[in-house]
This record gives sequence, C-alpha cells and structure tokens, in this order.
Amino acid sequence: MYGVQFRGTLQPNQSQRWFTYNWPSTNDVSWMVVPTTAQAGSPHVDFDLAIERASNNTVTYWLTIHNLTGDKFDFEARYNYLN
Amino acid sequence: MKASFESTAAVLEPPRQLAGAETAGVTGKVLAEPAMAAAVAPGAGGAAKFQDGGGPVIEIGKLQLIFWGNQWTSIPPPSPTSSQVTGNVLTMLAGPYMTGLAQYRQIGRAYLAGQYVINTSNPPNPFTDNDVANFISNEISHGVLPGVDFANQNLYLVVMPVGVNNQNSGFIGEHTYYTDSQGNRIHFGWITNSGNLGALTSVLSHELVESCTDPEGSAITGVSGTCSQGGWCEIGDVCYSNSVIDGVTVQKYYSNADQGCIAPVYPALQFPIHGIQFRGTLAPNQTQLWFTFNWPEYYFVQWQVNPTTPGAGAQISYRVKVERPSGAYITYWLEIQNLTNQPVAFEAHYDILSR
Repeated sequence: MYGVQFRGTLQPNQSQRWFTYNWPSTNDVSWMVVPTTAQAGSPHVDFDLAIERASNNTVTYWLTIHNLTGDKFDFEARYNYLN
Repeated sequence: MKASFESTAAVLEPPRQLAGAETAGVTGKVLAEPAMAAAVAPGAGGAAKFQDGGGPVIEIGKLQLIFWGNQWTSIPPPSPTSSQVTGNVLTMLAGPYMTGLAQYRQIGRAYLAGQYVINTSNPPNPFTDNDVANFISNEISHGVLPGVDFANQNLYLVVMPVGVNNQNSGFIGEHTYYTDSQGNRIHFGWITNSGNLGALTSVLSHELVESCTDPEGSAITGVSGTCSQGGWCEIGDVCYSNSVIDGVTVQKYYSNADQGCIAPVYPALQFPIHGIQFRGTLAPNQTQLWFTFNWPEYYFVQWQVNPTTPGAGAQISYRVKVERPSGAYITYWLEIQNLTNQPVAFEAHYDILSR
C-alpha cells in the first residue's frame, strides 16, 4: 500500500521544489505525483526527483513539481517502498 | 520501523517557468487502454434507478472534518474520540469504499484535507441546518476553516457531540449547501453521534457519498418512485445495510451498474503487476508523446521504456506526465526521446506497485 507524503497546490505554469527528510537510506522509494483537481485535455504534471544523503542513515528527497497547464490545481505526492 | 516524517513542504527555490523543451512532442499519438478492468464492472443491463440531472458533483472531495463542541476536548475524553473518528475516516477514504462512484460521472475518492476540533462554541440542542451553516460560515470568516476552494471541492462535514440532536426528530445525518455572500455554494453535512463509532462512520459514509454525487440535489438522483421518503432521493437512500471495509463500518450505496447496493472491495490481486502497455518506433532523434488512459487513480504505477532495437550507447530517454481527467481515472503521458541517429523500436512497460 502506498502513502501520501504531502499535498500542495500549484499556480498556472508554476514549478516548485519540495523536500521530505529522514527517510532510511536502506529503503528504496518510488514517487508519483497525482493531481487531485480533475481537468481533462492535456498532461497536468510531471516532476524531477533529486536525492540528498543527509546523514549516514538517512536521505532527503527533493521533488521539483511542474504544472504543465495554465490552470491552478491541487496535487498529492505519493510514495511506495520498493523493499 | 521505517521512519518517515511529514514534509514541511518547504519551498527552497523560487518558482521557475517551464523550459520549452519539457513540453515538446506530438500529442495524442497512441490511444491505449490499460489491461485491467475498471473499478466496477458493467452490470447485466436493466433500468437504472438513478439518473444524472447534470447538476454539480464533487469529483474529488476535499473533506474538511469538523468536531463541534467542547465535549470533544473534555476530560475524560468522549467515546469515540475525535482521533478515533478521524482515524476511521482516513482508512475509509484510503480504501475502496468510494471507488464504486466511478460509474457516476467518474467521481473519485475524496481525501481528508483538514481536521478541526472547535470547542469555542457548542451546537444548540436541538440544532437546525441553519445553525450548522452559520457555524461553518462564522468559522470560515474567522479563518478557522478554509473558505471555498478554487474548484469548489471542499466538503464540510460536522460531527456532533453525543446527545446533541437535530430539530427533526429521527434525523441522524444530512447534507445540503448554503450560498455565501459571494454567491458560492458551500457544501456541508452533519452527523449526530450516539457514542458508537461504527454507527457514526456508517452515517458519515452515507453523507459522504451522497454529498459527492449530489451536493445540491440536481445531479445523481433517483428516478420517480425510487425513494419512499421526502427530500432529495440519493444513492444512499435506498440502501440502509452496513458493511465493514478495512475494519471501518460503512453504509452501502446504490450502484446502477450492479443493480443493487454495494460497499466495494478491491479485487484480490498480487502486486506488483507487470505488463507491456504499448510498443512503438521512433525515427532518428525524434521525440514523441504517447498517452494511455482510464487507469484507476488508486493504482501506484511506475513506467519504464525499454529499447528493443539493439544499439550501442544510450538510445532512449523518457518523461512521465500525469493528467487527472476525472476523479476516478488517470491518463499517463509518456514523452519518449530517441537519442540516436537511427530508428529505435521500444516497449513501454508498466508496473503497478500497489493501491
């Protein structure tokens, strides 16, 4: 079962960077960003993932999330452990 | 135990405009449907009991869960506590309960946008719809509750303390709306509280699905003769039996597709589920955008594009973009780039990791 790490809102054509920290470095994590405002017609969102080794045992994930549309929308960042 | 901390959602870099290259490509190249069935299979036919009147629905509800009255913060705490109710609501929303609403204008699962214990006032006993509307309006105006959101998907559900009843004897829950000073329709409901957690979540689930499918009495409503009671005839009004999903008591609701009352559960599946969604070929140095639609929103899906043409060096790169065309479904857009000066064939693989 996946989890939702955070939710947010993006303004039209906005890109913004979020971070979430203290994730165990022994776990591999997959991320997915899903709009929670429905709107048909074109892709809403994509994201870039960057990883920081914040300590011996933990990593910080940095998600730069892009609004690909001219409309404001809400989204949620989902995570899924791979191991 | 894995430690994961709630993001502080801090913004460390200023917003930037998208580079043009990020949206390059040709849209709508391939239409491909996912291999798995939708949440609710079509029924065998027959007359639908509920029809769509075309009025507003709440496609992806932003639930604002409100506990009204100082009983919620009393010592010893009441039973159930606000935390217990909230925990059950979170489980309900994360599970399959609302997935059956996909048949009604592709409404999806709601999510808990906020939880509030407001003990600075107490509900009158008995109370009216107007009392609840005035309470919500007042708390919005004081900044305690969020106001109407840009898509008007907020749903304010107010949970009463034990022993506080509606003026209409026998009414244990209701949903309706009021119109604010800017002309926005504020969708809200209330749930009375007998002190039994299961009874409370049953009523709350009823008001939740009815609010999403018919927040103003003009969307998904029963055809003539469907309901026996007065007021709006809605999908919960012909189903008064309960079910337990993931340990939470919920009330069934009517499904036209199933021609009966349902409390959906997920089909038994073993994850991950791997497959090839589509294949294609890219001309030298070509970038193209494919999409694949009707993926249930509750699947966590990963994509990988593998070249099938042998080569030396990097051949393919790709980006995954997500569209939410409706509450219930996701469209994935794969922007695939040929990094070589030779044609490259590829396969787009999906892995459904969980739900």
